[in-house]
Amino acid sequence: MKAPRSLRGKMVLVALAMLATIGAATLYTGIATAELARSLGLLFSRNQHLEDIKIGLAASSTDLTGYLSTRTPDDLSSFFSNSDSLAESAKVLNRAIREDEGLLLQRELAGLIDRYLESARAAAEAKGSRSVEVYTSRFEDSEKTAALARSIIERVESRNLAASIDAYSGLNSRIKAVIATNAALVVAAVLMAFMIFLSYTWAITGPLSSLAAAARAIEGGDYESEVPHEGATEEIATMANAFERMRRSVRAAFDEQRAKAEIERRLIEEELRLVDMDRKLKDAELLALQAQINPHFLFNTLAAGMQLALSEGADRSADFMDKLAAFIRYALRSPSRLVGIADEIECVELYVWLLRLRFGERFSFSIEVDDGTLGIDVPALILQPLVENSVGHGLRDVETGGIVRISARLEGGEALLEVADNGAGMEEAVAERLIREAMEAETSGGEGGIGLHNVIRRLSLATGGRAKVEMESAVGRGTLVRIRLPAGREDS
Amino acid sequence: MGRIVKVLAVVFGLVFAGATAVNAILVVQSRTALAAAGFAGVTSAPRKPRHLLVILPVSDDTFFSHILDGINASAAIIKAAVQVERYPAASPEEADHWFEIGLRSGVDGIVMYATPGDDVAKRAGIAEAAGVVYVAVGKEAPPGVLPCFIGSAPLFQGFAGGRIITGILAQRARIGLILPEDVVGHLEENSLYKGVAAAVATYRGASIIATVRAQPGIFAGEEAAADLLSAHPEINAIWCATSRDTLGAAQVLVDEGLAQKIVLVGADETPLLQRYLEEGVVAASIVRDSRRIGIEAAEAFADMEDGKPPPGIIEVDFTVITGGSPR
Repeated sequence: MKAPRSLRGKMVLVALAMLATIGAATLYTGIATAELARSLGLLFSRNQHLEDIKIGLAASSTDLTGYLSTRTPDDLSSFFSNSDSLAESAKVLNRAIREDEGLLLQRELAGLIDRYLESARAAAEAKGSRSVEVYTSRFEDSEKTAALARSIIERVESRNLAASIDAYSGLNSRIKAVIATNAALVVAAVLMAFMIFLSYTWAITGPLSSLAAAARAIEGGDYESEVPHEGATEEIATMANAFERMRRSVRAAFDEQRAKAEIERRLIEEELRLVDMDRKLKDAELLALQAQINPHFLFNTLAAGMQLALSEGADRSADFMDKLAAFIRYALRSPSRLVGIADEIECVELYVWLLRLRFGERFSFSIEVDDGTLGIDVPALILQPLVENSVGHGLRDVETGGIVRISARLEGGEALLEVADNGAGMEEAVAERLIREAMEAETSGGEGGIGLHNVIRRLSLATGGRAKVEMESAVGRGTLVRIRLPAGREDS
Repeated sequence: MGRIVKVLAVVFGLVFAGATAVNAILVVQSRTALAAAGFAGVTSAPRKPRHLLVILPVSDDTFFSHILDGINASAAIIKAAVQVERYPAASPEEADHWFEIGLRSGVDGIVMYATPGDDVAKRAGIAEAAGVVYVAVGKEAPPGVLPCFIGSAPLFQGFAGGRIITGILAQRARIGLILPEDVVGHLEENSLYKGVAAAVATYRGASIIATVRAQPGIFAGEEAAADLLSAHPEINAIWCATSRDTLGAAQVLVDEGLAQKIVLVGADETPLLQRYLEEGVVAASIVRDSRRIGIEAAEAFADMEDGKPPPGIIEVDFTVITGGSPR
């Protein structure tokens, strides 16, 4: 049988179970009591048969005596009627031979009644035929047999009485036990019904308690625990499901709010970073403006020096001053401007000319430029600092044979700008660390003014992070710095 | 909590079922007992082909109870349902009453104790005329030709008792006899008495001093023994014909401090009598095999009912036991 799932069905089932249990106990105790009473009645009703026989025997004997005395037809008729009744009553007597004293006594009584009826009827018939000798002898026999039958009846009655008293005595003691067990079974039935009620109540209210606990948890801010609904009735399961859906919706709303807050936080951080960059840019521009005060004086001075050198016929000094002025002019212009690679190469050539003037034939320089790269825009002054690093660091301890190679070429959609030396070089880990520190550095602190980190930073700003700077180095084998630029023209 | 409640529900359910079962058993038992106590009787009792009516006097003499034991033991063999009717020994007319009932009610056979003086031959004739098998049982067969009488051998029992006494006391034997009250007629004609007298006669000087009759019973035996001893102080031996009388006489000897001073010879065997034998209070006991009488009577009834001729007089054997006899 399928258990009902609805709250109402379960409550009805509980009520029915309780009613059935208590009802069964009550019904049974009633039936048991009625059965005992019926048994008691049976005890006495069966003895009624014996009384009927006794009465029938007396009536028959009286009628026979009356008929034999007066010979009236009424007595004869009454005699035969009572004799028939007696014979009918005697039919209930046991006639089988059984191993039971009571049944054997019944058998004897049945035999005596048969004998009596036979003699009595014979006496009556003999009276009718006026056979005096016969009817007197049969009458005497019937009377003697009747007397013996009565003695048997008395014996049976006496025996039955004794047995009935014993049985009744036993019944009394059993009735006490029956009452005790009746009380026990009623108490047990009530307790069992109560336990069934309690069990069902537990089953019904358990999910409600769980639901209430879940509500309290949500009230306390816990949106993670699921709302249980196992074993719940249909109604409570519906409530639990609705509650669970509500919990999930609230949690989803909260998650969405958190995500939005995170995005806003990031936007604010980005804005702050841009503001900071803008501030730094302005600071840099201010510094550059300040630095332009002296270059005008320097240019004028160098121009005057060049005019002086020409007037005195010192052409080499005049040439030096002219190239120095051109280099400084290039270097002191806005560092955030974009220039073509051709301009950058020209700047490097000026710088190399000046270095040769300084170092003579100690270092040699080679510049190889792919024409396809010349038009590509790059931030100004990205190659010169690298050449400066090669000479200042890589070849610092090299007395002769130092070589610096500068190249620009196109490869795989990228422009590759390389500055390599055959100087002291460094361990690969050191090279990686330098690159990493340069990329992470916030401020310029590099040796020689515009250092590697400055180059990387400006490249990153100019290309939106698409340019990459790589360094390959090995101890005793020199260092190569490579700039990868997207080959297409990009606006900064 | 929910689990405990479920367990308790099961426990109370079991108690409920158990109490109901016990209650139902009690009700059924009561009903069965009441039904059996009523007029209907135990209808489930097994059927038998023969109905045997046994008529014996009410007595605590083991002679009769052993006869009944023998009949009941044979009942299963001869396939008879046994109906026992007891009558007071002082009212022998009740025996006639039950005899008449047996004849008129159509029982198959009657086993009846024949009191001394009972006309067994006449009773046998009446029973034969009524078509009922009649078997008489008793202690001493009445004179005359009897179709069927199963009894003990009182003459030999008396003789054996007398020999025991004279064997101990020889010519010094001064004997007092306690005979059953139903012994009628002249004592000299009683077989028990004649047996003792025959044994005593072999020792010149030994004699039977006195004889009393007593109902079989411990108190009756005490009274008879005390009377004998007070009336005849010279008595140094007592012979009792029943087990109850023997126990009464033994008690008197113990009470009077005469145990082992007076030779007491008893009859039959009971646990108490056995103890007296072991203690030497009773010198010996003549054990009549009355159970055998019952067995023989039942078998004789079955044989006669089957058409075999009456066996006549059958006397069963007896044994003499002393304190040293194996049990």
